[in-house]
Amino acid sequence: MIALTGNLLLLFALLSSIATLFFAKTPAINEHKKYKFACLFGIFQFLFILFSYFLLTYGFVVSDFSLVTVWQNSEIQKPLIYKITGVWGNHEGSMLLWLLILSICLFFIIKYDGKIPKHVQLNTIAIQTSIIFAFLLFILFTSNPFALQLPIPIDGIGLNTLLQDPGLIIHPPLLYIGYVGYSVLFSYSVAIMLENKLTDNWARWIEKWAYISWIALTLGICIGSWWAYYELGWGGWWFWDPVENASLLPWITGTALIHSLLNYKSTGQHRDWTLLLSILTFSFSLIGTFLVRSGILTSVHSFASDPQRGLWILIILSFFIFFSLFIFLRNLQKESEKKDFVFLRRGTFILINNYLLMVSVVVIFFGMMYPLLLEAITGDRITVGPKYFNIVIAPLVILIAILMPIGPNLSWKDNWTQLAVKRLMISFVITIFLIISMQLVIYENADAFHLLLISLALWIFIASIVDLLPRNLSEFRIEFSGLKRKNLPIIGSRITHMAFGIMLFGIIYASAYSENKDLKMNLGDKIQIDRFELQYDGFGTHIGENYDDLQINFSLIKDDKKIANMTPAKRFFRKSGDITTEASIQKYYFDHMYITVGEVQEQFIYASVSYKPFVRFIWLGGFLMAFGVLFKTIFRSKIFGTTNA
Amino acid sequence: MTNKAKRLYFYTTATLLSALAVALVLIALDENIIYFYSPSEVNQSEAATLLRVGGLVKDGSLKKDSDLGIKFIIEDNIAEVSVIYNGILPDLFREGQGVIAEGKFIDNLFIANEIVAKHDENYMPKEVYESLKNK
Repeated sequence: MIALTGNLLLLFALLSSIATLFFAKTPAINEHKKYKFACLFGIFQFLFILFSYFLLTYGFVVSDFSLVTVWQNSEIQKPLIYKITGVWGNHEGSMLLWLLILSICLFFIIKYDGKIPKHVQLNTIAIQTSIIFAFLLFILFTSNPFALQLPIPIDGIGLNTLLQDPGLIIHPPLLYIGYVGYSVLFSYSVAIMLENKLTDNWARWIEKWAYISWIALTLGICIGSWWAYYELGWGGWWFWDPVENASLLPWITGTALIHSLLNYKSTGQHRDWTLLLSILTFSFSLIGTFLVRSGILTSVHSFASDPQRGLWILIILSFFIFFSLFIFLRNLQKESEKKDFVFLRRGTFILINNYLLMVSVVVIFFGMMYPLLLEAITGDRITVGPKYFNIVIAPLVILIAILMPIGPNLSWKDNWTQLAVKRLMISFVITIFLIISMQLVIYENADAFHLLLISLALWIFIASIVDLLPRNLSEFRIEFSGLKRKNLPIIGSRITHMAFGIMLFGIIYASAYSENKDLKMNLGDKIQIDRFELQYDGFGTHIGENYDDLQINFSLIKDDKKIANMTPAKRFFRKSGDITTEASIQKYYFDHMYITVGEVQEQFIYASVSYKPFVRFIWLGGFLMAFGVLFKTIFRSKIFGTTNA
Repeated sequence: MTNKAKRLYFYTTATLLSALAVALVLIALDENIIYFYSPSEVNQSEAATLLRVGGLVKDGSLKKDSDLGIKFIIEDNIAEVSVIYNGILPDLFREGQGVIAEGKFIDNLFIANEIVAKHDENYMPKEVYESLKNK
């Protein structure tokens, strides 16, 4: 029953999308009617897809094993929360989620962007619908989550045990909202390019989508990184895995896009580049999907490799990329008037920002694709080591970090140069002061390279705070009263820049000063790590819903006082017999003590123990970055609100 | 300086920096690509280069000595490579299943510094699958 209904719902969604496209493009009726019908069928698409999604969830919840997808990825014993979220823990379901978010975006375009001229709106709806249409075909023909099987098995195979974790609840949806949110920017940008006469308002229409997608993508990546950190048991938070790179690329172009939009809004320059960036960002989202779903790159994220699926997505991907690039090139406008080029302007620094970000994209993309390229040409199979990425990204990050505080201190139009120099000097002096005192107090053995990087992280952090001081002290009161309204979005931006500094600090500190020991421990053994002692106290058991844990007990001791119990575990899943390693992580201010256990014997264990100073700054910074942009988004819309000024 | 000259400087700098980036990419790539071999392809004289060997863990070959030292054999139905690894094996490391070891050859022994087995029980690393397919 579920299989049949599900297939019908998807079919209705497909028909609705065809109807939408028809009404959006038919010359037979007037624009008002076109718009009305296109919207109506757009809403239908959304509803049908939504129902089919709920239906699949229902199938998972009631364990309907007549559905192949449910049978392969679920079991009766599985906890309810993983039945609901397990919907996206497999290829078919995750593609349905992707589709659902695409249609939710369509719904928002129809419902909440009424200020935009009808003909632009109509084109946007048509383009968004054609993306939905393509993915509906993809799902129906290669990845149908409602595929039926008979006879019905008694119990399912179960969800991959590594995925049975709270990370699954939140990481994929956020990442997908980020990826797919950029489809709206894509649709708008293409629709805008199709216009002959341009209004200048378009940057405002698409700005909020650029923010929302970026926030979701940032959170998605952060949570993914956190999940990998504690679940995969290596204690690393970024592996330059192809799929991680695939999510980083749209994030970088999305960051460039946000800046370029600001530039366009304020100076009216680089319109085409801004539009190109929004096309590029969604293209990278598609490329990311293609790489993950086709399984052509080995990665932790591969569900199952099926070349046919890869081919389909490759076709979809090529179509949308070439289609949009074609429209882009056809409508490329010669920048109407070249304004005076002044180096010390905010716009120039945004240009530099965009340049550095795009170079980062190119070098990461190249490193990611090189193994494919080489295998195609010479047949050699290679891996590009993480060191490659670190080496090529480091100089770019250094340049970005040096320049990052300068731009925001400059003006779009006026000459604030003197004031900017003064403020930057203040930040510079504070940074130098802090780094020297830190050097004296904490670590005496820092090498010059890491010291430079840490100084840069501090530099960003401090300059962002100094930048929030009123520009003119004599006008302090005016500035202060302005804080309520006009300056709030600016505070959001500075929070985000500051948070980047925090994240960078965490990344560098944790990479440079972590201590790791792999060792064998007998009962009662004590080891020394950093300023702590760790004692192995024996083991116990813990019964979970569908697993049993063998917990290994440690005492964390500082200055002869026990400060915490730590219990890493070996988790035995009853049904599949799989064993996973559960790390134990103990916070100590911003640091982590991280333990995983390898083999457990009666007399001894193998443990891997790490102390990671300031590692929590990485995620703290990441979340704060998202918060800053959220802050900006909320107050921007409050201020500009309905007036669209 | 005229606007044109200023722009010219700006874009010339960008171009030079891009060239620098390309150079850096090539250098970094040259030093950090790791070749993958199956046991029958591997050339043991290629000492002291970091490489990856992938295949199946031979049944009954896994031996642990008293310390963290682990010994096992990777095979591909044609040839075998003896691997020594000091550390904790991944959860899904099993005899008879696919594995990739990264390390160097020293005296005909493969000294691994990393064991990659981030697959589930049904999944085999792509490289291993493809190299076994042809055997």
